[in-house]
Amino acid sequence: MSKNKKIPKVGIGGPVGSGKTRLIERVVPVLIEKGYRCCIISNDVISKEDAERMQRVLSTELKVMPENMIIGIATGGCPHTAIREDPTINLAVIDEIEKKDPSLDLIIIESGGDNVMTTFSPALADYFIYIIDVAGGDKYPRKGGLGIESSDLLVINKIDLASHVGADLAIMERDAKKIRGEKPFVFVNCQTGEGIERVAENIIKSILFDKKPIAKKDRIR
Amino acid sequence: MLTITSIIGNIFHDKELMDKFKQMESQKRCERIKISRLELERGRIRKTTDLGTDVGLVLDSRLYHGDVILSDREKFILVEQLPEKVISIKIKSLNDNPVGLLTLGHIVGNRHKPIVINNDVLSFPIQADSEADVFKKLLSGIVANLEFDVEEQIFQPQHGMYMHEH
Repeated sequence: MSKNKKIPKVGIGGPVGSGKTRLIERVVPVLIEKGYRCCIISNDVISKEDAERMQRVLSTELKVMPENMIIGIATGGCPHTAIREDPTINLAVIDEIEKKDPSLDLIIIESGGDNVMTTFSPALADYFIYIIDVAGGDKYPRKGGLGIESSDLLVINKIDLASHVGADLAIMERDAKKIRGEKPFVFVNCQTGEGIERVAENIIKSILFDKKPIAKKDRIR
Repeated sequence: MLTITSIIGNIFHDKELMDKFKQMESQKRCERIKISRLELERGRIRKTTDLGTDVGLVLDSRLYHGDVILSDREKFILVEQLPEKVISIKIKSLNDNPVGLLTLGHIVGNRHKPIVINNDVLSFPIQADSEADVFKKLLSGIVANLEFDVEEQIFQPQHGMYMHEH
């Protein structure tokens, strides 16, 4: 199949505990509500914990997507490698998805990774979201690294905790702008959903090219 | 949004396109999409040209500096790679020191960066000037045999040495 017809892919990376899984659990229902059909691939080193949790939240509880559209990969090795130098495990899964359901609008790939070394191979993702949280300290954006600098969208999560952990959002905003130039960043609170709409808007504009989804009622199931 | 699904050619490899570029440039009809080295490798990207045209690229292959994505009577759109910080390490005197050369290869290789080797100069992109000091420290055993230089440039990695090409 020509790459021109390939399904757009967004990679979501971030340190352990920053809220990658929660971000996906929040943003996917927004995209689905707008009519876009998504598939999720979750990379873990040894477990499939995150994929199972998303199946529970998105399929069992919210009933917004079928369980088989949430796929867990246990990479067995360095998480950076599985999305950067040698993404073959992920590419094989994507290939299968594209054959099975070429009409999907979006594939989301989740993987953990630190700020210094995380980036997605362009062979794997067309758009890269890096997520950090305020509990890591307000120095985080200033420290730079591949994730902070090269991501297309920087998401700063858990803003409700800022006052409790002594993080100054104004400093994070100033440093993010300084390091990233014109590239966007968003403050979010994945618990309440604050800022999630803006994450969805960025995905729809930058990678879905504002394509109008097929209305739910017109879709063949 | 203007959707582009194929590349017309590259001005550095196609004389006719270069002539057309010069002609359109002189008539101020040349627009530029400025993108980073990493973005050049993507198959799907949305960008705005310097004259404000909204472009969505959906390609089968990667982009290169100098690629032309639109060329008609009215308009010419050129892809321009953004310069980035590049460190160049000149090997002054290690020819009789294979251990020193291996150490250099090991330490630089550990960064998983694309590189260019040009005669006795090894170059690769870095993110901050301070990285030069880190390398000087890591290479302290052979630092006297090396010369360091950091400058902004359009970095084009060597074929077959690029980490993303598998």
